[in-house]
Formats: sequence, structure tokens, C-alpha cells
Amino acid sequence: MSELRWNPQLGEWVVTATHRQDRTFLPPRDFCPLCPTRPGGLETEIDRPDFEIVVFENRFPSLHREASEPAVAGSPLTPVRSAVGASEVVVYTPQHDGSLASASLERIERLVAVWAHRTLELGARPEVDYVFVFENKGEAIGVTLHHPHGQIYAYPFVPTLLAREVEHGSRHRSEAGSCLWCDLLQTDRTDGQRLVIDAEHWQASVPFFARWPYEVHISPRRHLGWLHELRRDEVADLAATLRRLLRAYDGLFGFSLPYVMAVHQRPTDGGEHNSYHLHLEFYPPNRTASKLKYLAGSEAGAGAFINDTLPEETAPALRALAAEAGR
Amino acid sequence: MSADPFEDLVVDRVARPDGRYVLYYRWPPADIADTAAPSALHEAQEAPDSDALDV
Repeated sequence: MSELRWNPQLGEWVVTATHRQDRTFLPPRDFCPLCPTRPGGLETEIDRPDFEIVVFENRFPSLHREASEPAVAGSPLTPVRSAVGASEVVVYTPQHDGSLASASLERIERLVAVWAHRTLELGARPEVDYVFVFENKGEAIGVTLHHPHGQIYAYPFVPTLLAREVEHGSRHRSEAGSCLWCDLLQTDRTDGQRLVIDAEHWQASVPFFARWPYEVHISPRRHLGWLHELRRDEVADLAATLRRLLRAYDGLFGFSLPYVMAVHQRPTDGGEHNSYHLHLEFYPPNRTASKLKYLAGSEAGAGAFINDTLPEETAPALRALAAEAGR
Repeated sequence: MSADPFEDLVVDRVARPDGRYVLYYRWPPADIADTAAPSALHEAQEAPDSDALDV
């Protein structure tokens, strides 16, 4: 059962999805539900023997296209809503092994096109206020299937982090008369210390305010809000920048680095949001090869992140590896 | 090469027996794509109010 429960302390919705307890958990490769269905083989989620990129509705959705009524009664203090929306799985490739870091540039460009298409279609649904494209990679993040894939959630509200970014971007526009992210891009480029990749149309850097040791944000130089606004040369440059970053990550400790990738676009709630600037955020959990950054007391209990590293020191390591990956 | 990065995208929409949809994205060679189907992205842009997810 799924429903939305209102948290009046924080002013945000929580999604309950108890059926997800039963989802497939790290199956052996012969039982991978994201591999194509081969003749005579296991019937998987994908009923064709081959494909380029596939999107399908999650068998264990958090948000539903046709949501049932909440199973519990709310109250004026703690209202409940149907968990309407969408939960999609994006399978990057028919190949079971590998990652985006090992994908061809053409495949990554096509993946960006799929993300853009899903954002347009899901965002056009009147009940969808935000389309969130993301990837959880690696068991350290809690991934339950190893086959290269990402996910898309279409929420009937603007999630808290995005709402705060939209609000602060709008406030910055009112106060400074400029785009917050354009200003951050310029600051990082001028300073130079936190730059990781300085490409033609995109810039990757460890933010001054990074919460995670090797957190990186990739932003387009041009002010735009959605992936579908990108030109072909910008998509190609994004694919190259993305792959360089992921290869730098994999070179950092000598193994395929786990991460969360979050694509931050404008809401689709009908508001203007012209101040908001598309960008991608990456949060690897590793602070060393063998030590993870956990969301502990300060982070989970107070919402205040403690970063054990300096962005000015982590960025040069990633920058050197990204330069090598670009050769 | 076109400036539009999404114009050659084609999507096959399939309904599973349990009602869930599956979207197969493909990129036919340019001469086939020109006649096979309009850009899926442009379809969605041209009909933003339609329920494009019905399969």
C-alpha cells in the first residue's frame, strides 16, 4: 500500500510504500529482471530479446499512475493523500555488466534524450508537480539490482530539497538580479580551485558548500531549466562531461565508485520558475576507499551536514583524474 | 546534423498483461526515421494535455 502522509513538523510529504519490502533484492545474474528475455530463458521485465533503452513502470512503485485511496484516515493536523504519480525504471543497456562510465557516448546522449522525453510526458500530467530523474549506483547506496539502470519518480508535489532550491534561486534573482547558478558557475570558474571539468557547454565542480566528500555538480553554462531545452552540441558535451566525471570517480579508489545521481530540473507544477537552472548532482558515499560517510546524528537528527574533507582538496584529485579520462 | 538532439527518437509503447507500460526507445537510421514516425519528443510537446502514457 502507498499513501502520502503530511509531516506538519517539517511541512513535507512522506511516501509510505510497504509493498516495497518484498522487492527483488540482489538476485544472481541469471535471474536479473532487467536483462532482456532471451529465447527459452527467464521471462524478465523486458519481453524482447534485445533493446536499446527501455523504460517501464516499477513493479514495486512508490508512486502510482492509478493510485488507490489512502489506507489510513488522516486528520486536519496530519492529512493523507493518494500516492499518485509515477515510478519508472530506466534500463540503460541490455548488457548486465558495466556502468555509465563504460557506456559509449552515443548511448549516454540517447539516455539524456530519454530523460528529456520522460520529463516532458510525465510533467504534462496535471497531477505531476515534479519529475525527478535519478540513479542509485552500488550496494553502499542500497541498490537492489546491479544491471545498469536509473529511476524516475513523478511526484504530485515539489520535493523538499527542490522546493528549497527553487525558493532560494528566486530570492537570489530578486535580490541580486541574476541567476544563482550562473553566479556559482562564474565564481567557481574564476576561483578555479574546485573545478573538476571545464568543458565547452558544461562545468563540473565540487561545490564550495559540498555536503559529501566527493560531491560534484554539473551545470550547463547556458541558463535553462529542463533537459529538453538542450541543443545537440550541449547534449554531446554533457555525455562527454558525465562520462569523464564517472571515470574520474572510478579512478579515485580503484573500484567502481557508488553514487547517487540527481537531475535537478524545474518543477512542472505550472509555476514560472524561470530563475531555476538545470544541473546534475552526484553524491558518492565514500570518504576513503574503505570508509563511508553516514548520515548520523547531525545529518539525520538535525539536518546539518558535517563534511570531513575540503572541496579545495578533493577537487584537484578529481580534476587530475578527469583530465586523464578526457585524453 | 540537426540542431535538435531529440528529433530522431522513436518509442514503441507496449502494455504488459498486468497493465504496466513498457517503453522501448530506439533510434532508426535517419532515412528510416524521417518516414517512420514523428519525433516522440515533439509529439509530447505538441500535445501536452493528452495522456501520452495510455498504451
